[in-house]
Amino acid sequence: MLGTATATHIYWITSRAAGIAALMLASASVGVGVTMSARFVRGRTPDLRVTHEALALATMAALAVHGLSLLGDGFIGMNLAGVTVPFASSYRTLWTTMGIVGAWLLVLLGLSYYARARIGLARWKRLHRWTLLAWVLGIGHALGEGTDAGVPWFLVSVGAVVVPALGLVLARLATSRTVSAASQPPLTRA
Amino acid sequence: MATTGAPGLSASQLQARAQGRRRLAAMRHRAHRIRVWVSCVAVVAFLAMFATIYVQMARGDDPALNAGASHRASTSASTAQTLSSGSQSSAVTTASSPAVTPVTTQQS
Repeated sequence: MLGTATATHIYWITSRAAGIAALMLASASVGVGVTMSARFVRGRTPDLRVTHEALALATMAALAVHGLSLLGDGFIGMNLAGVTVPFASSYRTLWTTMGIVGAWLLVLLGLSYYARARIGLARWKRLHRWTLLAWVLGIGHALGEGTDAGVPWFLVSVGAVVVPALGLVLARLATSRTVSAASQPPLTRA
Repeated sequence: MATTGAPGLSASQLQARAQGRRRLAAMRHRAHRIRVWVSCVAVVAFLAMFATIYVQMARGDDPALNAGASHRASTSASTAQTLSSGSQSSAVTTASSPAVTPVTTQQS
């Protein structure tokens, strides 16, 4: 009886689980990326780079599962345009669009790593910072539209990954401000 | 000076090259291990979330389904209330006109 009830929602459960996993993996990826770029840990850059790349690819895979499994769910009745094109879905349009834009940004900026030689390293680094926006959009999408957004286990498990990553981002921003302030030429007295 | 393998390279150069190859192989092996580890973590995270949502739904604690159920319950309750107040008025009417049958509701 219970099995039948959950079996009818199997695509929906898959999508929800993949969405939460994607948010956790993206947060971990952001945390590792910031740790690497801010040099919070020294001498482990090759390991951190591999970890960051693997987490980003895992996030993309989870995002693909999150979006595509919704196509199988008969209840919500999403089509391919609804899960890939911003503003195409009538279901909570703003939150859905936030998730779609965040996912596309994450995928495009993530995959741009493999074209960084062509893009130019300095330009790619500037572009790559926009991944933070994609991550924030993902958090907004999860909290605004997520079915489990108000449930304690969701808040605890996602918070355990999001909050440290957010702390690292803030520390990185504070460090970069201090460094840029220190690198400013001193004011000369007349 | 003794050379082995590639001609024109000294023993120390060959040793450095071998050491470089070993280091590269170790780095590749380490990278592979990290990728496998991250893949396992990703799969475990997904399965853990899947199991949690599945159990939550099977127990009847799912937030979305509960919201739908409470909405349905409140809708049917208000419908029943409307029908019962309607039946009361019809019961009043029944006293004067016996042709009107009392309304009975059945909640599924």
